[in-house]
Amino acid sequence: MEEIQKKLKELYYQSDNCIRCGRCTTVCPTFAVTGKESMVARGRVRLAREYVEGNLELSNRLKLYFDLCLGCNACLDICPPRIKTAELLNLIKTEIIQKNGSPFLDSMLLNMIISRPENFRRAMVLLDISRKLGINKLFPATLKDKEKILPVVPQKSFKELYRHQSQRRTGKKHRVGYFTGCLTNTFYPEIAFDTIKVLEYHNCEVIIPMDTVCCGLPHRTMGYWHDSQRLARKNIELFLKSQVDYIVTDCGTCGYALKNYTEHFTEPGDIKYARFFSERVFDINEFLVNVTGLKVGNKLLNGCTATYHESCHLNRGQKISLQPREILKAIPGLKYIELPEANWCCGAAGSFSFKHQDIARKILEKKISNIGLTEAQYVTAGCPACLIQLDFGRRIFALEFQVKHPVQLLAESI
Amino acid sequence: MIDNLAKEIAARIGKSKVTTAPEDLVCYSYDCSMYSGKPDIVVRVESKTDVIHVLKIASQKQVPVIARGAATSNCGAVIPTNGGIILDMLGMSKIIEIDMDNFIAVCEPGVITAHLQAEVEKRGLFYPPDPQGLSMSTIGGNVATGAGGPRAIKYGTTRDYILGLETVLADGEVLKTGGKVVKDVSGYNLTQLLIGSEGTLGVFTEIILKLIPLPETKRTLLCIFNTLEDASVAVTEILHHKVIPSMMELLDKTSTQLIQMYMDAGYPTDAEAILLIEVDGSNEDVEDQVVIVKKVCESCKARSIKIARTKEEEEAIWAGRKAGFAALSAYKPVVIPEDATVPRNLLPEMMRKVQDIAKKYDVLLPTFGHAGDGNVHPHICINPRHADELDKVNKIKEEIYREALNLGGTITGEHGVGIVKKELAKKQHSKRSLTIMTAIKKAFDPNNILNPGKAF
Repeated sequence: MEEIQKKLKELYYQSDNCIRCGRCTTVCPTFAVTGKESMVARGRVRLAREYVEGNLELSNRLKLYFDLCLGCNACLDICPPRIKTAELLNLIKTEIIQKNGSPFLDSMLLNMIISRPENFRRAMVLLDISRKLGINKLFPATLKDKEKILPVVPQKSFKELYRHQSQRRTGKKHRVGYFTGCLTNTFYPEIAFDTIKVLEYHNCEVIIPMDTVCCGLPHRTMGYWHDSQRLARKNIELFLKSQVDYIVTDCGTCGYALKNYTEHFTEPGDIKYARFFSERVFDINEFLVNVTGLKVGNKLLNGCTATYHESCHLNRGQKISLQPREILKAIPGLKYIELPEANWCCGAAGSFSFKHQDIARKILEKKISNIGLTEAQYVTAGCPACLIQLDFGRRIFALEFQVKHPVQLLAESI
Repeated sequence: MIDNLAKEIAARIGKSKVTTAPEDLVCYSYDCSMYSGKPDIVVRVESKTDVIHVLKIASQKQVPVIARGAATSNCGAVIPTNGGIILDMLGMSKIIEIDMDNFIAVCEPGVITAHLQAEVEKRGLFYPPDPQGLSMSTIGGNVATGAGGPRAIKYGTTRDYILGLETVLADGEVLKTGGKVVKDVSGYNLTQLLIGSEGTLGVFTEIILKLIPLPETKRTLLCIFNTLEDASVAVTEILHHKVIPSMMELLDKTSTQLIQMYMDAGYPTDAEAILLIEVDGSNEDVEDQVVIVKKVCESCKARSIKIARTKEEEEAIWAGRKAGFAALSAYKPVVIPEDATVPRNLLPEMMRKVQDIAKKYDVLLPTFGHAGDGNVHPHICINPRHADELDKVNKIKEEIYREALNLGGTITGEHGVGIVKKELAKKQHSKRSLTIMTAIKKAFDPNNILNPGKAF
């Protein structure tokens, strides 16, 4: 509680510097689709300040307004005094939960399902079964709409599939730990396999700790600070035990969370371990281009075209923007087409697309119409959450493209 | 009473457009100034009819109505000082027409200035007015405040590009002034009267703008001077040589130092003044202008002159100027841009006075401004948590404007009066002109419901 108060106070004082210039209105996706002052950093900062100062009561509307930030941080990039609006709102949400307890559904979802990869997987399998039996048609209307966002659930998760393979020890140049993100694990096992294939092709020995848990970002952004600490500790411990040189992930959101583990802690001991861990974390695109040096395969992807959507957590969160493009441009035969407004959020933003469907869909609509302009056959992104949302966009706006992680196309060339 | 009023408006124009939730009211209580005040109702108007309905009801009930665009005003022009209704104009953001034959654009007030510019530039046309906040500000707000910008030296301000207005008056009646004609001397020019009236005379619902052909090319020069006087002489000499740059920005040493602390813009930190000059026109013309500007600056003892060769170099030179406000706000949390304007030839004198005031009050007053039109922006930078700094603000302000008026200038060149400069405006204008302005206000808005307490 005290640590939250301290951090909140810091950010509150920082927000003194908001000059209300309105530059955030030029980049904020939620403002672009609503035009409302409560939907942009300038308004959010004001609401946060009035709440902290005790001038606004904690109404349901205020809670909703705090929750309507995507956390894409587009405002942070353009803000002259660099006010951390999304972080300020996360801390306020944390404080609210610590003071008032949490909504039952949220905490159940986070603690029982999202915290534990195996339970998350089970929930998605249940969803798949109900789809096959047609039970999903009986879901209440609100749930039915949410369910549609998710793609087809593969028969087996990555971790289930990989268990049957022996982990090789080969004396290669780099010893790399692979962090399996929950979404990659459940929805895109093929991305995980391609990441491993590509890493091995780049002279890496790949170690996969099977007991990794959620990276903790959902908990953090929804205000469940202690849970995110617990998850961070567990993941740090697992990778320290496996004695790897690097920790690599193919999920932009997980990567962002793992690289910022130090911010989860206030105890110097915790921070030390977190820093040791975080300094070794790399996104797969970054790792290939900046650490091993990129090596493409010989197979030609002739006639194929690809564009690239920037995940907020990869681009603004980790400043990884050039590397995925470099990979795509290097793949033999593949034609790369730049996506207009590539860094505009897709509207996924963790649970945002489920909770605030109307706004998320409008944000997605703009993304999809830009994708349409490229006429690319593959739409790539470095984050499975974006891929799920982009694929949902493809289905509702009836476009013809395939979503891919850049490493999948790279793997095809090998 | 407020509840009933909100219900009545909602019944007329639709429930979803009206809010009285405290969380919403807070969001419409501020602009870029230090002031704030809560409205009672926020109404998002989406059409002329909506505006008419709201004003009819408001005038009946005698409730203040304040039209708000992007709230980028730094003079408190859209602060509800006495409650009332905020008209959120962002719901009226259509470009109605771009008339290629007459070089005219017609748009709704909520169109973002930069959007309009991008649209007309796609067609080879040009809408020059360039207030600093053009990527967020609205055309309606620009007209209401008579917004200017760096290009004023060559192209003038918003005022020079408005041919006609459709305005809803306080009682809900629609007034059409001007039109798609570039010549019009019939009667008093009410269009020009409405421009810069800060929402005190009516609410614009349609704006007819004049466009010009987009210049073929442009070029930027960065000229460094050891003394402020040398730079000022250069400004006058360039104009004497019949070159009118599209922009001519002067930055003093305090500004360049603070900007360099914030980012590396390639500015010197030991020169008293730098000039950023942009010339535009046809390819040959621009080449000629560059040669003249360079020669003149050399003869005015410029220490060095850098001519941007590529678009990237050009952008790099302007990046520092554009980051000016950010650099200052990184230095102190509250930055109050002042806006004195004096006859162009008295600019160095004005800048020296500002330096004297800075010394007297022991503060930094980084100053940059539009050298070509005598408009300087000394910035008062303070931390509001320090009471002694807050105390100085009004004294510094008063001295700056006393000097500006003594030099035959004005208290505001382009920011407006709003609530911030009301007292100063009373000092600037004679009793007689204040009486006339009051009579005009009465003629338009007898019950004083339109943005009351602003402009003068």
